Amino acid sequence: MSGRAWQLAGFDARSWHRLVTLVAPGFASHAPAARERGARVEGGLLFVLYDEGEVVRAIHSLRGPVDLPMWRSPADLAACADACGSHFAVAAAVGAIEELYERVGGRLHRGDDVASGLLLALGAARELIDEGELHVIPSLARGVPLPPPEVLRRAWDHLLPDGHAGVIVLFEGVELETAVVLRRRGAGLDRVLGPEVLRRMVGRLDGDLRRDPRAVREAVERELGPMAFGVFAPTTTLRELLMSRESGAWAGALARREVVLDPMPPWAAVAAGAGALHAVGRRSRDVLSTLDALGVFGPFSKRAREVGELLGSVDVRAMLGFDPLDVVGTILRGSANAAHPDDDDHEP
Amino acid sequence: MVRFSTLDPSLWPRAVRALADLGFNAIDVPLVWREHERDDGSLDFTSPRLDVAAFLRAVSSAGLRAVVRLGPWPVSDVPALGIPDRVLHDRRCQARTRRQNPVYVLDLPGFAPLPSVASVAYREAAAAWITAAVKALEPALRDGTVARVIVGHGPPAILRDDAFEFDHHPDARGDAAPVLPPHRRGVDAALDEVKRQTGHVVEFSGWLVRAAADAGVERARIAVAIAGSVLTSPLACAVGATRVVAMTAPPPRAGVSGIWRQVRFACALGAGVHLDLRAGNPPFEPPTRATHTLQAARVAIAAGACDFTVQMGCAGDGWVGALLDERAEVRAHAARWSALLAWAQTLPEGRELGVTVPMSLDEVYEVRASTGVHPLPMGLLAWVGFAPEELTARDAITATRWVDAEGRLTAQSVPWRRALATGPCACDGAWADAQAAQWSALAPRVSPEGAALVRAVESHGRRALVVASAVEGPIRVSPPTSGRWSDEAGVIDTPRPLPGGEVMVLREVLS
Repeated sequence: MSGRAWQLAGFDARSWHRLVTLVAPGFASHAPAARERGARVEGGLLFVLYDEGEVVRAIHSLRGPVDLPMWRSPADLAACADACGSHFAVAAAVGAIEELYERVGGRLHRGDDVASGLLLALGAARELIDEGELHVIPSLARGVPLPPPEVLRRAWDHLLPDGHAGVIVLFEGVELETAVVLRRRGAGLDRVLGPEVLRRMVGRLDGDLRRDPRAVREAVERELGPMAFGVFAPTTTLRELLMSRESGAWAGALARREVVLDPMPPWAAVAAGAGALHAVGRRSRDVLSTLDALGVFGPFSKRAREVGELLGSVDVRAMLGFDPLDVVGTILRGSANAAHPDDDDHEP
Repeated sequence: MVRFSTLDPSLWPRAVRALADLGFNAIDVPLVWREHERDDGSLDFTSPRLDVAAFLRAVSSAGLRAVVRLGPWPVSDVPALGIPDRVLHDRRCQARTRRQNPVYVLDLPGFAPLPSVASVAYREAAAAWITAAVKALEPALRDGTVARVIVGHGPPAILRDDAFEFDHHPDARGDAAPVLPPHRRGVDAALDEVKRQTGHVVEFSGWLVRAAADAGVERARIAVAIAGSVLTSPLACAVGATRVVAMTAPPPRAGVSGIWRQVRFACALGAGVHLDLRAGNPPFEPPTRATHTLQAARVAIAAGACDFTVQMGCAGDGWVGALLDERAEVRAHAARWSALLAWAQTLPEGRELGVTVPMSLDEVYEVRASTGVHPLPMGLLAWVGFAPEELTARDAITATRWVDAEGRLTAQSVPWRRALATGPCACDGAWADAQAAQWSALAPRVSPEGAALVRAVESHGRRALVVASAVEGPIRVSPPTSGRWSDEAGVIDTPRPLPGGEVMVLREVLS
């Protein structure tokens, strides 16, 4: 059941922190003294344990134990979270966590792969939500369907085919802020490499979105294998895009070359036009033509047209039943410090 | 800490030398059971990457000593908890839920079954591992290269070596034979309480200490790793008849007070404390900036740990932000740890001042029992950095009671000196108890209240205060007004406002 057999290398504390907080700003590091100032910190996660409707214990990830005078029942969880300045909250009836362990333990088998295991655990959690034993805010669980394992595997095959590498490189000005190079081997990843390794492979990277993608692609394909996708952008731009509610934000950023996808796989082209897809219903061919006209695909325009033919099988959103970027966006928009999760510019 | 098996052996001398040059006097060496066990169940300590004797020779050649961890789960973030599949998937070894299902824990990206520390089958397998590993260490134990052997389930998350709230393994049930020495009345009282509430008894790491001792490691060199709750330490020490606990320092999330409190508490309870401090992160824990980690480390060291390990010394499989990268080259922030080491050397050595009000072990066990039995997902919450006192259930233990216990325990006077440089054991464990009953009048006072944490040390006939600021601003320390301090007058202001989290030593001001 343990699926870990990868080499993880090339991250120092700063580059790792920046990578993680890009999608999980709630995990941003705080100074020890900030704990003493916790009452003034916005955000965080509220966890409430209750029994017969009464609070047994309420703790806040930034403030420690808290009192919830407005709590009458789990229906008040949102109000309690709001009072604590938090957009995220979990309430569990006494015994619910133990029951979650029961269900996972009773259903998981040694031969289960990672996808099956994760879906099984999420499914058990959802059951408890449906049974009213567990309450989660925001209620992503209700809006996001759980696909069957085989669909998840197919989506994974589209995102990063076996033997291929995917790269995300983020800059701030001319400085390489963080990066991650992933390579898939079999069902999982066998390489998770950070900016130190990327620098050793490529040499200097200075935020030139015309030169750097080419250099990275050549180096990665030389050392690791064919690249399935590459994302190159200033960190702030990528963060804004992840948080954006605007339809077509990605397509626009690509057209303006604020973000470069090189190579751009079919699923990324479709995802980039997802907002526009919504606007035009099923006329996906037209959308792709529009993207092509905007120059989004550049030299890959021929391929982009081919993508239209394949659209039904590469639209990850359609495949999964939800848009993973929407999930990330919902989390980020709910995070108090998402816009500026890391202020370590002066860290020596 | 260097996970030598993840490095090319040609890099071993370079890694050891680089850490020696940074100022470290020992290398922490975890042995991962899962890596050393072959498919047929035999153990391999001699293949090039697994040759622990060769690595220890490199350590010795650099003039350093070694702290060896035998686990069975010796370090965070080893796949499958570092335990061989043969054991992990043996139902007799697995922790159970109430309905006798295996307990699965996150082993990202998947799950792993949790072993039962109460399972007789698991204990036998783990003891066999420890016996074999000690045998492989024999020459280095004999020539003194190995200064200490740490046993126990050390990673701070998930597997808590205390009243494990999920384990309903038949060997952990209340109707099983008692697993703790009957002469420990306090232990029995605690167990009775646990049994009353949960129906099953618990076990601590004493059996691992016994396994190491039976294999030939002298008790003075054995330390017990504890996970999370420092209140486990006296039980682990008592049961294992050893005096040193290896404690993973709380993350910065615990705050200045939390870090200070836990280390002081562990110091008072465990006699000698070996601290594990983070220099980076296993990738599945929330990331910590180097600056914040260093601040947490400074507070923890100031609170009185006798020696410490900087975890993630050299980047190996799965470690992020280590001092050395995968090629054993020094990363930029390593110099800051080097400076911390130099600073630690300036802290006063000597005798903790204050008075001894021995807290009865029964009381400690009672507190332990009340914190060990609760319905919160402790492991999961500890993973994001909650301190134990934040997680206890209502009516189990109040903050006041905790602080009261802490106050009485940390006021004890304990001889203290740095370890490793002079011997294998951090403290001789002698407990002075001459000044009972006056402790509260003898503690230094801080103004504004709660602004700082203070530890008083008598060093070479002089006295010093170690002050860790909890908030920003000027801090005033008032000497106690009775007992040994009564001849002192006036108050002491820190020479400048202290930023939150900063540590300052006010030397000789009270001499």
